[in-house]
Amino acid sequence: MTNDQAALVAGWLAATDIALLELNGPDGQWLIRNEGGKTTLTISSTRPALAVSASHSGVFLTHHPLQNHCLVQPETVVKQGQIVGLLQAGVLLLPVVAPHDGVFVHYLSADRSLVGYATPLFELRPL
Amino acid sequence: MIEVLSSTALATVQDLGRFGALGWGVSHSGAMDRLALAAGNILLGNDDNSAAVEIPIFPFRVRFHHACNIVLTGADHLARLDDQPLQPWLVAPVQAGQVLTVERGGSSRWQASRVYLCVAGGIDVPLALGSRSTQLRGQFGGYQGRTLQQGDRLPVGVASDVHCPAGMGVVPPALSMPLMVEGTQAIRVLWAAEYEAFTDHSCAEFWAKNWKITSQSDRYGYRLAGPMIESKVPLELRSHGIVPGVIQVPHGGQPIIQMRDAQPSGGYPKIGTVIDADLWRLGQVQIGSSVRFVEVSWPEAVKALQDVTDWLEEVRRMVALGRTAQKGAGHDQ
Amino acid sequence: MAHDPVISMLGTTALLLEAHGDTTLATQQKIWSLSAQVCSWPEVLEAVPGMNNLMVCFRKPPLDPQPLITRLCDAWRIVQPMAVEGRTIELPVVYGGEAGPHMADVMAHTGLDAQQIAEIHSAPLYPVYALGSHPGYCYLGGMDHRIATPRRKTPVLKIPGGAVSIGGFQTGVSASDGPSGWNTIGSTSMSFFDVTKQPPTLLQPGDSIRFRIERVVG
Repeated sequence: MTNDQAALVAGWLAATDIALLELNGPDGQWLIRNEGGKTTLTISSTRPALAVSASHSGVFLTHHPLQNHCLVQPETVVKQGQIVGLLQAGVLLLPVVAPHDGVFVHYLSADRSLVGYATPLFELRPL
Repeated sequence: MIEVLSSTALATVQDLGRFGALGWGVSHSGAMDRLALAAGNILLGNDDNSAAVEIPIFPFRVRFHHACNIVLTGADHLARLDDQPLQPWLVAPVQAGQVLTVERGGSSRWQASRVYLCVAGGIDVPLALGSRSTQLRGQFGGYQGRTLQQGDRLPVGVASDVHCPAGMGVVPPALSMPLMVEGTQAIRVLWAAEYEAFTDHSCAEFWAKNWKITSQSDRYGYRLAGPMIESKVPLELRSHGIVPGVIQVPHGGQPIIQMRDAQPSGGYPKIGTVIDADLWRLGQVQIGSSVRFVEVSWPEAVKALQDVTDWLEEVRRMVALGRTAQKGAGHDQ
Repeated sequence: MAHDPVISMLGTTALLLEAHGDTTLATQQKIWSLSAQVCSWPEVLEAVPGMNNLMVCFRKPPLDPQPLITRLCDAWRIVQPMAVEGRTIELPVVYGGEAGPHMADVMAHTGLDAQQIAEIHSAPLYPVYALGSHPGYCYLGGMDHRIATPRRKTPVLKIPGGAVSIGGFQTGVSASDGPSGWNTIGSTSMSFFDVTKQPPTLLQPGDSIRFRIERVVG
C-alpha cells in the first residue's frame, strides 16, 4: 500500500456508505473516514522518525518573518522539497526543506534560536 | 508568457522608472515600492531595473505558460500556486500551466498594499523613452500603456543563467528598517519652499497629528485627511517642476502627496517633501490607515537614502553568498 | 545687477531655482539657456524649465548642496538668453458651454462675459515657455492679466484632452485626459504627444500657439 493507492481507495469510498476503513501495512496505517461522501485520509507511519539537521549556521525560524503561524503544523504530510523552516543570516533567508515525503512530527529547535551546522531542526517520519 | 486570468483593475507593469523625460512633461512612473522590486530582481538574478507586475487590488490571478522562477515581494497577502500556499519574499519555481492566485487578507505582521510579481528574465514589454514602466496618463509604456486586463499575455524575458535556489529569500525591509511613531507609520519629511508661508499653528499640527490616507489616493497622489493647513496669505505660484514626495496644500487645506505617476510640474504651495528614502514605505501604506510626518534635516535625509542603498547592497551581497551556500548544501533545484 | 534667484530643495531629489521678477520671454530665454548648460554638469540628472524657474534633478543628492547652489547662482548671473526661432501653430477653440465647464467661474472672478474672455484669451501669440504637467503639455506665456483666475480650491479628477484652461496668470491646453486644478474655459483638438517620434512632443519651448475663436457658447 502507498499513499497514492490509499487516496484512490478514499475516492472509491466516497461513493459507498462505509463510514470507516482502516488499512494496515508493514510501514504504516491509513485511516479513511467517510462522512456522507466527504472522505478524510489520515496517514500514520510506523517507520522511525528521522531528525533533519541544519546544513548551515543561522537563526532558525519556524515561521516566515512576516507571519505568526508556523510553516508546517505537527502530524501533517509534507512533500519532498517543501519548506519546513528558514535559516536567517542577516537579511538572507535560506530554506530548510523536507528531504523526502513524510509526516512532519515536530520542531527540534526553537523558533529564533541560533543553530550551527548539524543542529537537529525537526523530525520527519518517512512514509 | 504569463496570461492574466483575473479581471481586477489597476495592476500595471513597472520598472524603477523613466528618467530624463520630465522636460517633455513625462513623469517618472515606476514601482511605488522600489525596494520590493529591486530586491525581487536581485533574488532572481535579474537586473535591478527589470520590470515586474505591481498588484494593488485583489484577487489577482495569472497562468504561467512556461516554467520559470518567480518571487512575490512587497505586501504579504494570501498567495498560492495552484492549491499550494506560496510564501512571500522567497523564490519559487513555477511549472508551465500553473496558476498563481493572490487574494486579499492574511495575518501579516506588515499590513501593506502592493504585491510585486517578479519573474526571472523580467516582464519583457518594449522600452518606451528608456523604461518599461506604464505611463498611464500618456497611455504608453508598460503593457499597451494601460492597466492589465483579463486575457492579456505578458512576455517574459530570457532569465540570466545565475543559480536561483528555490526557497531562498530576503527579510522584507519593513522588518529590517521599521519606522514607527506611537504605533503609527512614520514618514520623514524635509521642509519645502513655502513651509514658512503656513501658519505656525498649521505647521505644528502638520507634525503632531495623524494623517489619514483617503480613498482618493492612487499612483498619482495620496489625498490626506487631517487638520486644516492654512497659509498666512493666499499663495498663487508659477508652475514649476515637482517630484514624487512633494506635499502640496491646495486652497482646501488638505494636503496631497505627489506619488510616482504625479505630474512633473505644479503650482500649489508646498509644505514639505517626503524624503526619497521613505517613498517606498509610503507606497505601501494602505488606504484608510494613517501616517505621521517626522521632520528631518538635509544631512539626515541624505543619510537615510544611503541607508536604503546600503540595504540593497547588503541584499545583493548576502544573496550571492546564499547561492553559493545552497549549491554546497546540495539543495539545488 | 540682477537679484540672486531663490533656491529651495525638493526633497533630496532636486532643487528649484526661481528667478526674480515677472515671467517674461527674456527671463524665460535665460532659463532655457541655463537649463541646457547645467544638463552637462556631471552631478545633474536632468534640468526642467518651469515658468520663471528651473528644476535641477541630482544624480545623487550632494552631502552639502551649497557648492552646487553657488555654482548655479554664478551661472545664472552671466547666462546669455537663448533665442529660439520657433514655429507657430494655430488652434481653433470652442469657448464656454460643455467645452468650458469653468467659464462661469472665470466670469465670476473677472467680471467679464464669455465673449470678452474668449477675445482677450485669443488675442495674443503665446510663446511656449515650458513643458510639464503631463506628456506634451505646454505652459504658455503672455496671458492678459485681466482674465487671470486662481486655481480651483480642489483639483478636478478628470478633464479631457484638448481642454483650454486658466490657472492663476497662466494658460495652457491639456494634451490628454487627467486631473487638473485649473479652470477649463474651452476645448480644442490637436495631438501634442507621440511617443514614437523624436522628440515625442509637438511643441518645444520657443514655439508658439495662436488660439482662434471657433465659437463662443453661452
